[in-house]
Amino acid sequence: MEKLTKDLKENVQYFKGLFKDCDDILFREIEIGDEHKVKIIAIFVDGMANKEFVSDSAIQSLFWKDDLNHIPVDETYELFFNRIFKEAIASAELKKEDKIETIIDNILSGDTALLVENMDKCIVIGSRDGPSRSIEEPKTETVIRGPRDGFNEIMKFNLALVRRRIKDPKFKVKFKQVGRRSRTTVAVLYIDDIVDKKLLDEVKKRLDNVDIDAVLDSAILENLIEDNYLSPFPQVENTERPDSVAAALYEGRVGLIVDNSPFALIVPATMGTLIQSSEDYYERWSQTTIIRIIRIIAMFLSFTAPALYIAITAYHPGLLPTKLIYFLAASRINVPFPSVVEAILMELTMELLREAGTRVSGPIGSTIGIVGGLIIGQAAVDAGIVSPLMIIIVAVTTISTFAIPSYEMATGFRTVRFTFIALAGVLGLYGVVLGIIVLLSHFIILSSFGIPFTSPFSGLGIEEGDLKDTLVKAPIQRLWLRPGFTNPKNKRRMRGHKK
Amino acid sequence: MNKDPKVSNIQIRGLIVSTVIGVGVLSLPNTLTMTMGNKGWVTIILAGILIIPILYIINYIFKINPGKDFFQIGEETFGKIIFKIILIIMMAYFIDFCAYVVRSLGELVEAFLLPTTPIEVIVLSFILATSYLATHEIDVITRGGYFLYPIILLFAGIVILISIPEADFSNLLPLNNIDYSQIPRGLLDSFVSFAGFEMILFALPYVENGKDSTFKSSVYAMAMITAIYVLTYVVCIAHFSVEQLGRQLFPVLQLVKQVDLPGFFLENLDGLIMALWVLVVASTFIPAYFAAGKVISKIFNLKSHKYIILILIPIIYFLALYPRDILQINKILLKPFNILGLMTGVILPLLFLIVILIKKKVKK
Repeated sequence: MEKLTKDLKENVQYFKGLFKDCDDILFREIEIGDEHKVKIIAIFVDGMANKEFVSDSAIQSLFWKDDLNHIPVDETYELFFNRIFKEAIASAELKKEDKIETIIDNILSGDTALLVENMDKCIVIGSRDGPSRSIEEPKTETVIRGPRDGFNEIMKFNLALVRRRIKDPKFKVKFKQVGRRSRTTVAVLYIDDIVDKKLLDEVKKRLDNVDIDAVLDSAILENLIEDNYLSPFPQVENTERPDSVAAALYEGRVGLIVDNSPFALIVPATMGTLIQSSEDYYERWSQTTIIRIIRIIAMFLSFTAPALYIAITAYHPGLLPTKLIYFLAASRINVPFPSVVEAILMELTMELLREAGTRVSGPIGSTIGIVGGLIIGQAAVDAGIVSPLMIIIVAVTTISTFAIPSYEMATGFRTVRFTFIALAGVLGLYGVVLGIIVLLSHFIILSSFGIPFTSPFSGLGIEEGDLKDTLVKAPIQRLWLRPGFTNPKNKRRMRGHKK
Repeated sequence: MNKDPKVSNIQIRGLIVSTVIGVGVLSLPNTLTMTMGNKGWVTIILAGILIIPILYIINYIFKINPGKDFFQIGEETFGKIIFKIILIIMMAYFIDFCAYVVRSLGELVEAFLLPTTPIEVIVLSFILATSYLATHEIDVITRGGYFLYPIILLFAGIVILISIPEADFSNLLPLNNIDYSQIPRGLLDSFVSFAGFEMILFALPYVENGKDSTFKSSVYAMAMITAIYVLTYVVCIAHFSVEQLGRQLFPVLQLVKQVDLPGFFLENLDGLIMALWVLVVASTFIPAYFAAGKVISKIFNLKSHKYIILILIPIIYFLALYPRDILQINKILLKPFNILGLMTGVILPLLFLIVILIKKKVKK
């Protein structure tokens, strides 16, 4: 059956057959009219639809509206149906529908369908109201200064949070359904007169090409639409903060909000954008500049620190000051392992602690931190299994990964770190440099929705002055133009310099 | 999204600088003192100036043939057979370029970083690491060139800055007794260290915006390279004097090794400089490697140069390791490199110009 038929019984039979064994789907049969009776059946999902709202504004008003119950004998069902639609139901969101597929979609999303006797149409009442969490502070991206609201799992709230920041009719929200079974709604967000049309088309094309049965979180969608899914590095940015999404839209990028996920996606993501954090824009520029540079150093250390330690201790001790070499040799004198084994051992322990600490939260988590970090570290040094300097290196490496704003980027670096340790063990400093060559090659080859991942460091957007907001951050007054790498239609943010 | 490679004007600059500066910067001061004494900077500047007309010719060739790449233009101007011969010469040049660069790198890494590691491992691992980028198209290569360009400036900057405190600039004096008879030799020596600018043959047709100013940015790049060369040369002379410099094969590294920075975390900077230099060499090697693959793929009319790059791995490896010592390197790799470099870098653009001009005349 594609469309509803005139026969109510047949329709109801069809839906009952379809929703067989779905005990959470409720069928409410009502009868109105004094002499002449008309049967109406409401179908909705318990818990997804707001039951109170359905009873108050639909069922109750059908029962109590006097003139509705005096049905003239000569009135056709069509007229009666229109009367209900126009006069009886007090709901802001109401539509007529006859396509079964759409009706099923609506019911399963929490709407209520009213099937009326002898009509091949039904009324769909927008009654979506699932369980939800309140707006909380984002857990992964906390700021000292700046807005504290974060996304939750309900898309319409998330959209409202963004819309509140862009009160412009040019801000567009396009819905798309993804997932054959999960039927997850994805909202494509963009500002029409800023975004590059080519980028937008590419995003839409990739969303259309997604073929999977369920999209449970935006992370799954992210993997499905990114350029190179084999890469350890993300090519899509994700954020829990509505202000980050709004800022990205103003830069001419495209946002994706996936229903049931508190993480919005932003494309394209480049090296320049992945080292930015939303707080950068709320702090003074000098502060931010220093922090950005520290982040770059952290990024570098997060994958090279243990490798450099190995390379220098095992291959090139001559590079260090003489006193430091003596200290190093003295501290390693009791260590039975070569520094590669030492490094891999400690890095693995650290990963273990990190993983255990993430899985259990709260007080137990901090216990793991204390037991792992302090006690094991101290004991390992006392027992002479590792040198104290190695502990320092491992700690610095781990802390460095936390200083990278993008968690996915940090995980990427964590993954390649072991390769670097191995390379340093085999070829020393030369091995580390070879590793850097391959890693840089990978970054240079990588692209995000057709835009080079290394932008703006590899040329794209340099002429527009993109460097002003990467390694350094110029004062807001100096950022006249939107970043050039997104090729925005409207380039100017503010009046200012003539150029 | 777009399969057509695109290059921006500003990237051309980065590509030229990062391709040209490589092995030459370390040995140039030494080779120049052999012929020019302490006047080597004269020939460096002269060579830099002489390359500008060549850059102009190359830009001109692409300007009058809009929308066509180097291989199409070449086929149209010379005909299929002659152009194939030219391509074979270019192939020999780029393969020799790669072999020479990677062998020099191997020698230096062995000497300064990994004294006990066999040079075979160093050379092979370097070729393998760089082949990843070389299999990609010209837009990726230029992106890489631009990305590594600040590293080159950093490298040159560190070398020049740390050597200034101990420099004795009176070594440069006297300024006026130039031995004019040696200038052609010195010019040739300097020209070799400018090899690599031919890469714009592959990149120029894909420049999408600001096509008119590509000449300007290539001249800008050349000026930058000349400045870096002159400065390193001056610093080396000031540090070593002519007699000592004649005995240092790689004076820049020796210079870095001699400079002590007491009180700094890294007391000796040579490790750091060597590490940076390996990156600098990679930025020279990758475009040349790519060019070799591209030229071969065109000789055999192949669509992609991906597999050629893989086939080239053993070829470059064996060619690089064929010479036994520095003397043989100079004889087997450097000499042909000089000749072939002159042919592709100077004679080829001139040939292009002459043929195009004659054709124009005939048409009239």
